[in-house]
Amino acid sequence: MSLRSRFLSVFRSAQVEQELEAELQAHVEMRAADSIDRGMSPTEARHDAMRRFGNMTRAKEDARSEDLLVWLESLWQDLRYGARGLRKSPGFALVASFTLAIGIGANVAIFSIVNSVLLRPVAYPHPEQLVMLWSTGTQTEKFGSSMADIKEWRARNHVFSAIGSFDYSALTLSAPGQEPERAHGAEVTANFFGVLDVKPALGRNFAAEEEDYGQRRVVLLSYGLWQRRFGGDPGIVGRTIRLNTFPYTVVGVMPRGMPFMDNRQPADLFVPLSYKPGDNMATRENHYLNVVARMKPGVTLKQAAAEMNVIGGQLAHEFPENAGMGIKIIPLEAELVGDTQKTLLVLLAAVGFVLLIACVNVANLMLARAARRQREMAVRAAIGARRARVLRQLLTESLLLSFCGAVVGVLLAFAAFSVLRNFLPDTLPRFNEIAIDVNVLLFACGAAVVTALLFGAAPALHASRSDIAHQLKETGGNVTLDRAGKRARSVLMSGELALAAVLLVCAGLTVKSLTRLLGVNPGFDTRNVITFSVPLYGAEYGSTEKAVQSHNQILAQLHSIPGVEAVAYSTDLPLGFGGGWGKLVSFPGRPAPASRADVPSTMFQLISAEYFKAIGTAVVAGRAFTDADDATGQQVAIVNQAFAHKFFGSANPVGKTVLMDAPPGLASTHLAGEPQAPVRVIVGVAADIKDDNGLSQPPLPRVFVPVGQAKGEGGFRTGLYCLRMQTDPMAALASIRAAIHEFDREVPVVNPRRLEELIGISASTQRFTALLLTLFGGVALLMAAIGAYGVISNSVAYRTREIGLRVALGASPAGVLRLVMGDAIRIALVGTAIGLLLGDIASRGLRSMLFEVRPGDPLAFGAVAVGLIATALLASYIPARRATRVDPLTALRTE
Amino acid sequence: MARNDQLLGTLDLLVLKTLQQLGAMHGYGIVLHIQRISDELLRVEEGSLYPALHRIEQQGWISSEWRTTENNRRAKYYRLTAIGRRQLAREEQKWAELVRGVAAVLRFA
Repeated sequence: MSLRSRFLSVFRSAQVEQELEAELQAHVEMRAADSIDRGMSPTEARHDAMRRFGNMTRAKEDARSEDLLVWLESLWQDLRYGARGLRKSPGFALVASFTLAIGIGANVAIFSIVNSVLLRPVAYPHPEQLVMLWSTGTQTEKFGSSMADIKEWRARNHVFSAIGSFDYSALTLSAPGQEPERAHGAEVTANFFGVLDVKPALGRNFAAEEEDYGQRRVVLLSYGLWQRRFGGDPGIVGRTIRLNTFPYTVVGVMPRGMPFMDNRQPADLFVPLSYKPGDNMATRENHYLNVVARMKPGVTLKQAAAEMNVIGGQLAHEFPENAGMGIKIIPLEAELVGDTQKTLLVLLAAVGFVLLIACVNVANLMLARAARRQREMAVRAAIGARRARVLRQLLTESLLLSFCGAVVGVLLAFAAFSVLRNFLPDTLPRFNEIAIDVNVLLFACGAAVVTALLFGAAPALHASRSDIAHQLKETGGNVTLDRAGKRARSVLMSGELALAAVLLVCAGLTVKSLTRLLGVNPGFDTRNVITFSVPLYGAEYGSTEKAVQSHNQILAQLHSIPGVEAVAYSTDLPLGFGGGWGKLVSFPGRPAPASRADVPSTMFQLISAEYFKAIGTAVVAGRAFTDADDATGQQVAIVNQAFAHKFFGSANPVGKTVLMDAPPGLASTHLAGEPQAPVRVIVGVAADIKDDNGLSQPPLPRVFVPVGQAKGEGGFRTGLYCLRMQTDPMAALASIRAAIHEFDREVPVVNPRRLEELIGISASTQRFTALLLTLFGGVALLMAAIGAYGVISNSVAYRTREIGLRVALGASPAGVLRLVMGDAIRIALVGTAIGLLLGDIASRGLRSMLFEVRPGDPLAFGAVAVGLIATALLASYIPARRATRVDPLTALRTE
Repeated sequence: MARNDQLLGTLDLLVLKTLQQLGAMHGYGIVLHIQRISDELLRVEEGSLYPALHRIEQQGWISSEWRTTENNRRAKYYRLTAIGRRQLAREEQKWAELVRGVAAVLRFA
């Protein structure tokens, strides 16, 4: 047994420790007394006595600490000693590790999201070679591409090994005796999974000829659908399933866990993207395909962008429809992250603040504990422990605490995550992949170490520096705090309040912004409205005309449900939930723009007669559609206010005419075999409805046309229904299903939800941010309150004698209260003031995330200031009250 | 520091010898005694003394008890045990051999 460990083993028992302390104290006193006898001043004598506690042990330790084994041994001792110390003060250990657990846990939870969304590479081989290609135009920054263009890109480029594309799609999966199901997925080019470099787990990828229309109907299943719907049947390949009422042959099953793009939507199955000859969708006009390309090895993004730039220029020159268009190239990984990066980084910063506050709180607790342990430290110094050694011991204790916190924190994060999952914004990419993995655990360890250094360093330095002689002179077990410690705690307390203020300011701003956002008039009335979609894909609905007839029959069925106020179907839903389409627009009688690139475009939506009544939107001028607006009558349109304002200014557009095409003479969007788009008379102006731009932005110009009049302007099969009821619309869901099944057993009712849910989903990112920031702000406030309580109660304990003396000299309880609360008020004011200044800076970073709220919103700042100061004072009031009850006799007798 | 180095390994011997000469003594008294008897040549550092005293006590060479000093202070007094006496004899012999050996080397010219 080494000298030191043997010595420590002696040192360990509390009784021996006390005895040793007494022995050393006797020694110091005797030495000092002798020195005083020889004429030294008492202070000098005491210092001299202390200085003599010498250096030989240190020299020995220096020599020994180079030995790794000894180092490990001493670390183990430190750990055991630390654990014993923590066991001896369970209150401190519990509060401290729980505080840390909340701080670290919150960080782990947020980091696990950041890790999955931002840090983990996309799960395809060589993801750095994958890019997405977009079309750009004079009016729109970035949109999908046309099949005709993609074919040109493939033929002309030298930088990509392959270019594939896909369109999100949904097909009705039906089987005899089973409820039809809407299976989501995509139509993909035959080479698509080759571009991603993913091979099916079962079966094969699509073959090139399977793109040819009507050749064969084949489908690739996702692993999930294969398991869920087909029980993981190993003989699935070659079997036939029914999609959109047609038989499809299963050619393969994709690997388990294969992500599909940003994983925002489920991908149940994939079918080849194919067009019948002359299909409208395959023209140069129909910009709707998502394009994924793989760069050849060694090709840089810059080279690829340069070449596509050239090709885009060529196409714009060669094809009139491409006038003004270009090509944009974005790395797949950046594309998938999208604009969530900022939200996540803000949350990560906020949660970092929570951890900092937790650190400050624990540092405060440690300082208080250090004050109680000064004598222990002094004894250790006296028997020859070097300062670095004492420091290490203290930091080991801190590490022990923070690792306890981290373990509990990770467990908390697990628990929190199952709750948090329900609040994740629907717009968060890759959220299915979120999990607590090795990265997250490493992060938790890192957080624990950094945390321990943050909260442990200052108290440890402070404690290890304590004046040995002074401490050994102290008698009794009185809890004291020297001046430096007291100042340190006040500074920490102010800092904590400042951090809490920053968080609260940010929380306040986002909450106010969210309320504003949810308070925005969406342009429709959500009360008692249910929406759902009815896709009609059987052979019997082969054209838009047939689909319209069928939807009209369904409409009649739905009308007969008791309690229905209005019901309508359309090709789009508010807030971009319908995926409506845009069209060029021109105005007969006005001079045509110089080139096709300058022809304006507008959103275009087919609606049945009662649409505005069903979603509760006012027709502010002219009239709504009626059943009389059919194919034979006058061709009419209703425009929204944004359209009226953009194209007619303050003039009344009712009675004016529009053409949903480029003006005659400029490349028409008209397709051979389809009727020409007619000139339409505007019969009404509808109030603006919030659209794809979201709640915070003004909607795009939009033209509404009666479903029965659609002519050469694009077709549809799926009806998006809105049903306004007198009472709760969800209660009518069974009747709705029955009505539609009566019409056709194989037609599903897809995505039934209340209209207000659309608003909720649309604001989900903001809600998520506001919710988390509020949660963090609340935790910060709570910790600040605990911190204030701790500092003030310690200050009261420190000043017990002084207070007793004052009371003895006739101070009133109110006077004592003022005395103690004075401290608290000073700390609270300083902390809050600094916090508001920092909050002002921090909130500027939030600017782009705020809606109708300025970063320096006075209401938010005022509320935070008042709330924070009130909380700090309330928390201080409890110990201050205690001070007023100090019995002067007891207080004065304590020393 | 030179003084300390001289003391390396000899502190046990000095402590045991001091206690043999004084009977029972506290730590401070041991320091003073060694210093006085050695004409201030040897100075025991407190930081080394107490660990040494505890180690020696653990080995059973000395025992301790709390007493009051002549100045009415409470202090811990140490005295030699029987084993300690035998150990002292061994240490003295070892020291004498060491001195003889070193002297022989020094005399060799």
